[in-house]
Amino acid sequence: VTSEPSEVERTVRIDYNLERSINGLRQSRPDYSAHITVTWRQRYGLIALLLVVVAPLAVWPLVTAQVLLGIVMFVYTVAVAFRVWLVFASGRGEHRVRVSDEEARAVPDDELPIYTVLVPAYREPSVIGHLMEHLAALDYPKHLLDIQLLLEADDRETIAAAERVLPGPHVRITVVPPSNPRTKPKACNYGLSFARGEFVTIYDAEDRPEPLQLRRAAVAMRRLGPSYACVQAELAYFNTSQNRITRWFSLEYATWFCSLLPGLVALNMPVPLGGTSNHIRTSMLRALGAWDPFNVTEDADLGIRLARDGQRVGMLDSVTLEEANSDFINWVKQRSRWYKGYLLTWLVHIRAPRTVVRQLGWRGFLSLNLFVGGTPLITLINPLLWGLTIVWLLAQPPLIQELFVAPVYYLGLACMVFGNATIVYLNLLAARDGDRPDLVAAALTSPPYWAMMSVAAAKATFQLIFQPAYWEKTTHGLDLAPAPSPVEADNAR
Amino acid sequence: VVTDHPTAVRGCTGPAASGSVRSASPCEPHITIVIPTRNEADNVQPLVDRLDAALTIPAEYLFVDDSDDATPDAVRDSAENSENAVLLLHRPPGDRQGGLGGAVLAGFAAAKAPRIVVMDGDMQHPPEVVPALFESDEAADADVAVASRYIDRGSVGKGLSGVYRRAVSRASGTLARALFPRRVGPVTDPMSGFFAVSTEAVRSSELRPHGYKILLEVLVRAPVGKVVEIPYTFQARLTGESKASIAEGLRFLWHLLFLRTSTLVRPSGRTSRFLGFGAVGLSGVLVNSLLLWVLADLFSVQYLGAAFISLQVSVLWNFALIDRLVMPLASKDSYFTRLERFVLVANVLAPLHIMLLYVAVSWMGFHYLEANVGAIAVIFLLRYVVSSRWIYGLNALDLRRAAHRATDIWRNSNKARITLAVLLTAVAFPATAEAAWTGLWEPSSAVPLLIPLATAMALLASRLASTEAEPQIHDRQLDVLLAGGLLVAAGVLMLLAPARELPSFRLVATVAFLGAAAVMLLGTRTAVRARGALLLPLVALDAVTPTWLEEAAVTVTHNAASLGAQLVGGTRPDLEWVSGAGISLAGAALCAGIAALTCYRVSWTGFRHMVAGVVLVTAVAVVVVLCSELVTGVGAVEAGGGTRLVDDVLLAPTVALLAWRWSRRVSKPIAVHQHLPRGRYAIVGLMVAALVFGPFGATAAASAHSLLTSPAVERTGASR
Repeated sequence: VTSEPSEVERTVRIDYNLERSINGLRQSRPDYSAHITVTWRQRYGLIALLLVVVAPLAVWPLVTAQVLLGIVMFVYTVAVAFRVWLVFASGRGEHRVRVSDEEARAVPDDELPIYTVLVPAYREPSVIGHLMEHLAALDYPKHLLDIQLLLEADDRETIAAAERVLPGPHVRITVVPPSNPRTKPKACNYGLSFARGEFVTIYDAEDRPEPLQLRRAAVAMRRLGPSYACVQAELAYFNTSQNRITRWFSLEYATWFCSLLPGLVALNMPVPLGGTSNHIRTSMLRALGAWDPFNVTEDADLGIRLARDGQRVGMLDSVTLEEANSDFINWVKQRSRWYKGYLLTWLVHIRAPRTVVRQLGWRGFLSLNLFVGGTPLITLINPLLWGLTIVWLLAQPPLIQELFVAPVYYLGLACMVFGNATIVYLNLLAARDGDRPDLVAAALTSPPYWAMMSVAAAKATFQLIFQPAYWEKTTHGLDLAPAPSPVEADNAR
Repeated sequence: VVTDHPTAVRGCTGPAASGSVRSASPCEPHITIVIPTRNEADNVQPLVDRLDAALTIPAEYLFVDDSDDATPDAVRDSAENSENAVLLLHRPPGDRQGGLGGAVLAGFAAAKAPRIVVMDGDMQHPPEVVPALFESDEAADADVAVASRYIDRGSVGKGLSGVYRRAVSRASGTLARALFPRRVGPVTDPMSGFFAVSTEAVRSSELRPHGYKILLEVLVRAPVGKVVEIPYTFQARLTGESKASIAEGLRFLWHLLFLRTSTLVRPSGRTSRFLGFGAVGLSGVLVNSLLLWVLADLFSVQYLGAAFISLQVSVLWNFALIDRLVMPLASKDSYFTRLERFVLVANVLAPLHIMLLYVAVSWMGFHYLEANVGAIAVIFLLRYVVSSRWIYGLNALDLRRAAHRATDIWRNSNKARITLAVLLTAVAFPATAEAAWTGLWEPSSAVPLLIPLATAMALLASRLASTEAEPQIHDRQLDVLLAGGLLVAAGVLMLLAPARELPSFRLVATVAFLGAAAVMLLGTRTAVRARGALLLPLVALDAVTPTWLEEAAVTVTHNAASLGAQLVGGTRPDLEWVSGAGISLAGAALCAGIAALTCYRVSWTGFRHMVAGVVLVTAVAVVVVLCSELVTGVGAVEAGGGTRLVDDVLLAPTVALLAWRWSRRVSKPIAVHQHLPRGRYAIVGLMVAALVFGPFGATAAASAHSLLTSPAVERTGASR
């Protein structure tokens, strides 16, 4: 008697849903999938680019370095200008979809759609209890709710914790069979194959969505019509005041969701979606091939894909509170994943530049390069320029003097003085717009935060090359008191 | 009821065992809980209930009872409704050898399970902790698991009443750890009466406990390998009276000394045996040398022959002592067989000895006495290994184990790692290391390095261990990135300023390198936690101490000096010296400030401690100035190493003490395994980096420096 399943049994037992959630996009739209980081054409392109840069660097080192520096400075200037443009655009008009409380509540139950809520979690038994409270707070008819906890099969602890607190039939546990890649989008795809809802949204286990958010989203989607595939709710943090990092992080989110993303929407550029609280039409999502399980920022990628498909994304005036990462190392891990994902997304979507320009227009193409690819790349280059500045201040080596020819030097100086001041000013504006006076100090002291970003960008670049699909796990629940040890728990019993 | 063997009051429950079965337990217990009791009638039932509730595996409770009250009846009653076997071993008056310790030993002898838990019957040891003693991950493969009152989360609670008694308890524990640093040292609570041990370990050794400190006995005498500690809170006594007393404490002290001396004779540890062998050998060298001198010098015997004769005598001397004091008794051979073999070994090695002696004296020109000692030393290890192996059947030299232990230290000790980081930094920056060494003792215009170094070490003492407040999240990629960044920064600094020209650049580069080494060897989290300590050496830089602080400090010392001058009524003291004291004070104040900020962060508490620290160091500096004036007489105080040193030597420990106290108060180390990154590649990488920076880097730096600083026109011209 063998307990191991035979070969035949194993083949028969193939879970087609799992198979589809892993390889669906890869098979239907290989050009959209990040299972290959760089295509052959991109690889040759990169090599050619390197040759174009390295060969002159060997022959005319100084001139080449001067030219490169000039290019970098130009990109910096454009990036700062682009940011200002976005903020200006977001302030110019109203681009958020507002649904008042009355409107949201006025919809009778039988006119509401079935809503699927996916909650992927891995190794987070401590936050499951809180999760249930926050899900229970959602003001939406229970019989129309289809909440799925997406838990990994090997994560018995969280499964057990979840089983203990299941409130009713509207919440179910979907156990994702063990398989690679071990990413959130794969789990979401798996959950999507069982989704019953007309709309689907994702919350993280530690999220606190605003109770009326689902109703608002339903009303908003109806109001916006079928040209809108998705509305993105605003994300903010509930533990802003925990420490310096959470304040910087909150400020960054405020800027991101209150100025930059609305700016993108206003200018009709592709919107890299946030990781949670994006409300999508299920049919649309399925037609697009759902999330890319090989991309570690599947949300941003989905935003670009929606745009390439001609769909629009709206910003919903409703807030989901998340836990801001309060620990330096944890933060760097999370941020490196984001940056890696942005780089991946960028690489995926510039595979066919002409097609992209046709699909997104030149504006969209610009934003794809500056916003999705440029954000991590600029952050990566920052320390080099800071280093040059510091070395210059310390010792004034003539080499640096020669590197910066006059126009580049003045451009660089402008970037350093006005560029940085502008970014700080935009952050201040965001703090003001969001009515967050507590974040002003964080806005004025952001440079160390930029240094942290650069560390994360370096880590992201390293991983992009060596572990492109590796999901850097972020630990949640760091705002809670430290968990008691087993012995203490025993003592307390 | 007088019983030699414990009576099974009741077997384990089950269909067959229901009713009043009073035979031996039908199912095998996994653990035996030995509970020595004395007049604890009221505590028995609650204890059994709580044990039943806590335990999930079959166990037997073995009450070893020395009571004169109704405790035996209580034990029997409790057995009626317990799930597990309850056994009673009653020791009637007159038959209670060894007191509490003897009772536990009797329990060891009667235990049937492979593992034994010892706990008190007075509920001061919470039964709920018992599972953790053998189930937790750490305890699973340990020989001894101690429930400790003193590590982190465990606490003394309200159990031991009175500060005095608590102090006695703590002091006796510390004393035991100091006397047995290797066997008891790692255990924070060797006085605990609450521990788990494998039955095999306690059965195979001869335990002779006096009083109640059975755990100490087990740790010292039993063949115990891995020891772990589980935290718990000492509970208030439920009922009954406590038996711990001062007299017991004194008896314990006596026992401890007895244990120490008795374990010195025929030690069981490999290292102690080796040391004993060496000590006896040293005395043998004395005998040998004396005889050799007498024979060769007074009786003019040829030195080689004299060496041979004195060797024979010293071999007999060595054997007598080694066989009596060092080697274990267990040998099956007779005394004379052992003697024969010992002499044989020595004589087989004798030609080698004579040869070495000849070479050293005739070819290398040593005196024959020196050469003889040298020859003995060279042969010592060989003789030790062969003798203990062949005569006593002992495996004297276990290289694999030794290597394992050495790597174990490297793997588990963050202190070893930070030491290594400092050593590597010294290799990379020999000039800084040299300057630091001379700067410790010689006054200069800057803050003497002694003060920040002492503060840094005090901070490191408690900031290396990770605390409860921080998450256990680590990232090796981040470590490598940060270390790489720091190394690049250090390299650029060195390139910008070749060593001798700008010492401040060099010191900053040194600190950057130290930071990189710390990040690689300890991980980012630990390095960041200890950042204050790693940055403190920078205080020795002229530019770091703000001018206003220096001026203020110098003003303070000047005023103190003039005040002293007025008191003594002499001339003004040496100005240079007073200014020097002022600079030291400024440095000490700065160190105190940094230490306060490191421990309490930027907060009101931090500010308060900072002010207190500054006031304290100022007071010390003023007192030092006044005292040196009063002692040496005004005017006799001269600029120079000596007196300035007095000032530093007093200021440095003051700041260090403050830093130590503060950091100890704020950091609560966690009980779980401390994270240390894998250092295998890190150390290789750092060694390469250190060599590049240090021995091999100087020339490269010089050429690169010229490349960096000379105008490019010339450079391009030269390259063509």
